[in-house]
This record gives sequence, structure tokens and C-alpha cells, in this order.
Amino acid sequence: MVLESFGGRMKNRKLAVISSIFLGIMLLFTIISRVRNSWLVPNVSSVSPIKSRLNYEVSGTGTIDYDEISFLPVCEGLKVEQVFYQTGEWVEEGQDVIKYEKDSVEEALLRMEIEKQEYRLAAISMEGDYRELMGDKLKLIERKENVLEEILENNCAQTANATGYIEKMQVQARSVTDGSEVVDIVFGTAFTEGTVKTEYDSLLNVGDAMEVYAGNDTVVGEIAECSYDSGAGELTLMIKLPQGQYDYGTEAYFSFGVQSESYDLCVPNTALFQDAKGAYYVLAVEERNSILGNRLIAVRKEVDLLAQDNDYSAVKGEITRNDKVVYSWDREVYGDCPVRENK
Amino acid sequence: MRPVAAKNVERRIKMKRIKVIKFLAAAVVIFIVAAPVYMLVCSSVMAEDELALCYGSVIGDKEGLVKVSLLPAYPTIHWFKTLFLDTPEFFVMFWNSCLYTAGILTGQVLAGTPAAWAFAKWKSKKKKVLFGIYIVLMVMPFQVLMVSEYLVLHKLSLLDTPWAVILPGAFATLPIFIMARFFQTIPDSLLEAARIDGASELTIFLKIGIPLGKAGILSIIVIGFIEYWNAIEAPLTFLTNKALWTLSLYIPKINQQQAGNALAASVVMLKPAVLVFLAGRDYLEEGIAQSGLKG
Repeated sequence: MVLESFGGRMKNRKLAVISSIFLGIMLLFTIISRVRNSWLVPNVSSVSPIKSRLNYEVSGTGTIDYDEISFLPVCEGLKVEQVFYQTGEWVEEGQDVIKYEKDSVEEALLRMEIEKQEYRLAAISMEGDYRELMGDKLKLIERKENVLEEILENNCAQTANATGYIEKMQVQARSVTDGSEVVDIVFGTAFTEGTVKTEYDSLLNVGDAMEVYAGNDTVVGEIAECSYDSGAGELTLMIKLPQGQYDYGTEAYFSFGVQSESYDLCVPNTALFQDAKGAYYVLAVEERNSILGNRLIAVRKEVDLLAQDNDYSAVKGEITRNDKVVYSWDREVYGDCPVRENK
Repeated sequence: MRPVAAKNVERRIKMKRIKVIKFLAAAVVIFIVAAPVYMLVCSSVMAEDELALCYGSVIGDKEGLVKVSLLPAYPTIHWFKTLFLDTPEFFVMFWNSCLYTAGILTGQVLAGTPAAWAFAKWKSKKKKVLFGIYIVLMVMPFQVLMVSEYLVLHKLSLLDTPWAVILPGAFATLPIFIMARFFQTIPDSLLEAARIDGASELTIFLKIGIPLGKAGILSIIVIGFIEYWNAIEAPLTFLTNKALWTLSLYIPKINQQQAGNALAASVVMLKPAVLVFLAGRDYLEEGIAQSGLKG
């Protein structure tokens, strides 16, 4: 009876069909879930931390300037015939800068002479400090007189008293000077001044060479001065340029490659993660025994960031040089997620 | 003196009362037995929030008592979807369970049937002693034999292989005990008749013993399936490689996030056992009756 009933009953046939369908479904979903899992596993590239120095590029911009300045004295009441150089132009010492009308120069000389006589007469009747003041005035007039005489001797042209750039030229052609115009020439050693991040403070020293891109030229300058402005939190660098002709007032870009101290564990910047709490960590690829067999797992390892340049970060913490840290991926990676390594 | 009709009515009422009491008692028992399964199925279609609300005090940080919900507020198949599509680990363990159970049951049938036949039908002085040892081994729980089994498997370099689970199960003593009881019911006169007709011992075993003891074989298959499908100790002890673990070890740690997944897995895991039970219920009962096991 029992044997007959086992295979013969409809109920058991149905159960056999249900069991087969169940096993079929399980097989189907086994394949689907494996395919899906395989599809979703991120492909990652990993690298071992290296002992290295970090390379920093200290860079900034400033304007070309010169360390000396020479003023061209301008006397009042002179009619300007011609101005040979304008602001920003390079002038050699002894070259004509301004040409005046001869009559106006002679008239000015005459006025100077009269003024001189008047001050002399006034000085006789004065005593003490007033007399000294008169004396100073006389000296000033005499200096102007000398200038005018030089102009007259030089065919009514005033020459540059230094080789350099005209910084200011307030005298205009066909105008009459009032003595307040400024004409100056900058010369001497060219330099540029700019600010950089304060974190480079310890890496920069006076005398360090620095590349400067001034106009179309690249020259090697030298740090002449480092000054830390605690208020602004900036480090100001003054970079001395080698002897040469640099366009005054133009922008100069400077950069300097410096190396840090050696760090034991440096990882690519892309390998360094930061969580919502601001804690740094890396994801190390480790082979682990799992239900799906031995799998590569991205394991979160806490680290402290010591320093960072454009490419690498120096860290210390739970990783060693034998670890392999994830630095690139094609899907989102996170702690304890299975990964596949790119060969 | 009361009339006979009145007596009959009184008896009928009494019988009815007894029936009602029996029915109520049975209903209470059924409810107690079925409630965990019902809760399991219901919970497997609950959303994470609802699970946290109901079982937060057990699986989460919530304080208070478990809240029993007869029906899920917003049924969802999310956990089943996750289990079937995003959990290949579950299927690895499912097929491992299938492999081990099939291996063990095959081993029990192949090794246990001749052994049981020998115990039941062969006449030997040492048979009783040997059978006594078998019975002693049968009543020993896994924990007692665990160390010795581990040492033997280690010596044979079988640890961390499927054989570590299959071999101890295949040579288990309980199936032999049950089958021997079935074979003992076959009359010796039938075997004598076969011998007189010239049948060899092997022929008698294959042609008479197995067909007549088929119920016993099927009963040990059903009992064995339920036992080894849910086995947890042996895989946990002898297998360190997670890739070889069985389905019973799929739910190692239930927390609020995994609870739904674990419940869905439990429902799926329940199904083969239910199917086997339904198919072999008669043989299971018979096997239990023959072996004298209860509960």
C-alpha cells in the first residue's frame, strides 16, 4: 500500500513538479545574481604606498619693479617743445628726455637771477632761523639755476640722469611747466614681489633659486626676502632678477619646485578618502575568504594626513608598504565592498 | 427510569462537548506550532521600518516589548528581491546544502541499507554487541563525537572539504537502526523460501529486502533530509572556508538592517523541507514509529 501510494498519487506528482520548478527557479536566480554581482563589482587599480619626498611648486605672481629711482628736476615756467620718452619706456643715461623752448629757458634763468637777488637782500635784514631758511631757499634756486644752465648748454634739452625705465612722465609737449610735474626713472636691480601659501614657509629660504616668467622671457631669480604677514596669513616673497632689461610694471609669474622631507608612506591623492566627519582613510585591497570564494575586498584603513602635494599624500596610520591601496575605480567603492583588480 | 432516547441525547451532547473540547485543544496546539511560521512569513514581507517597529527591541536598540503584527501594514517583496537578485552568497550556500544533503542521503542509503540488512537478518553471535555499540553511538549527541570526528577528519586531511560533512553523515547510525527495524518485519520464512529456490544472499537482499524495506529507506531519506538540511554544527565545526558553508549558516548575525533579508532567506530555506515533508509524511511517521523516536 505504502509503496503504491508513493509514486502513484497525484499529490506527489504535483509535489515533484513543484520541487522541480523550485530548483529551476533557484538555478535561474543563481545565475542571475552571479551575473548581476559580477556586473556591479567595481574594477579598481591599486598601488603600494611608497617612501618618497613630496614635490611642491611654490608659485605666485607679482609685477616687475626696480630697487632705485632717479627724479628728473622740472623747473617752472618752461615751455615744452618736445617730450622724447613716455611712461614705461626704457631710456639710456644722457639721452634727451625733454626739449624746451630756448626763450623760456633764458627767461627762467633771468627770473632765477632776480629771485636770487631778492632773497639775498631779504636775508641781510633777517636773523636766526629766518636767515637760515633764506639760505636754504637760495641753495634751491641755485640748483634750479644749474639745471637750467645745463639745459641751455645741452641745446635746451634735459637728459636722463640714469639708465632705466621712465616710471612717471607728467610733462606734456607744448605745455608750460609749473614745477610740480614728476619725471622719474627707475633703475638698478629688477625684482618682483608676490605672495604664496604660508605652508611653504619652512621650505623657502633666502637665496633659493626661482624661475620667473617675465614677459616672454624665463629667467632664474633669487629669493631676496621672505616676510610672513601674520595678519593676512600670507608669505610675501621678494625675488631678485638677474641683470637685464625687464619691462617695468608688467606681470611676472614665478614658480619654485621644492622637495619636502622624506615620508615613509605616500599614496596618490586619489587614494585618500575623507568621510563626513573629516576623518581620512584609504581603501586597501585584501583577499578574503568569503562565501563566494576568495575575493578581493576594499578594506577601510584609517590614516592621518601628514602632507600633500599635487600628486601624492604623505600619510601614517593603519597601512603598511605591503598594502595595496585603491587609487582609481570605475564604480563607487566603499569599505568592505568587493572589488576586481585591473591588471 | 429514564427513557433510552433521553439517554442517547445525553450521550450525543456529551460526545459533542468532547469533540468541541478536542477541537479547541487542537486549535490551541496548532496555533502554538504554526505561529512562528506565520510570523516568519508575515515578517519577511515587512518593510525595514515596520520590522524595526515590531522587533526593534530584539534586533535593534529600541526599548520595550516585541509588537506582534498579524498582517504587515505595507507588504513589500523588497527582501525577496534583494535576496534573489543581490545575494549570490545565498545561492552558493543553498547549493552547498543540496550537495551535502544529497551526498549524505546517498551515502546513508548505499552504506546503511546493507548494514541494516545484516543486522536484521544475519545470524551472528557478535551482532548483538555490535548493534548495541551502534545504539550507544546513536544516542550520543554531536557535541560528544565532535572532537573525535574532528581529529579523524584532520588525520585524513578532509577538513575544509565537502567530505568533512558528507562522510560522518553518510555513516550515521540512526538510519541503520531505523532500516534494521523495517527489515526485521520481513518474515524469515520468505527468505528461506528464496534460499530454497536457489537465490543468493545478494539476490535476496536486492530482490526481496530492498523492495519490502523501501518504506524504511524512504523514511530515513525524509528524516535525514530534514536533519541534514538544517544541520549547523557539523558545517560550523569542520568547515572554515566560507565558500563551503551551508544555508543554516547564512544568518549568522541578525541586526536591524539584515533582519528582512534573513527572514526572506528563512522562508526560502523552509520550502525544500516542507516539500520533502509533504512528499514523505507517511514514511516519516512510520520511521518515527519504528525507531521509537518521539517529538
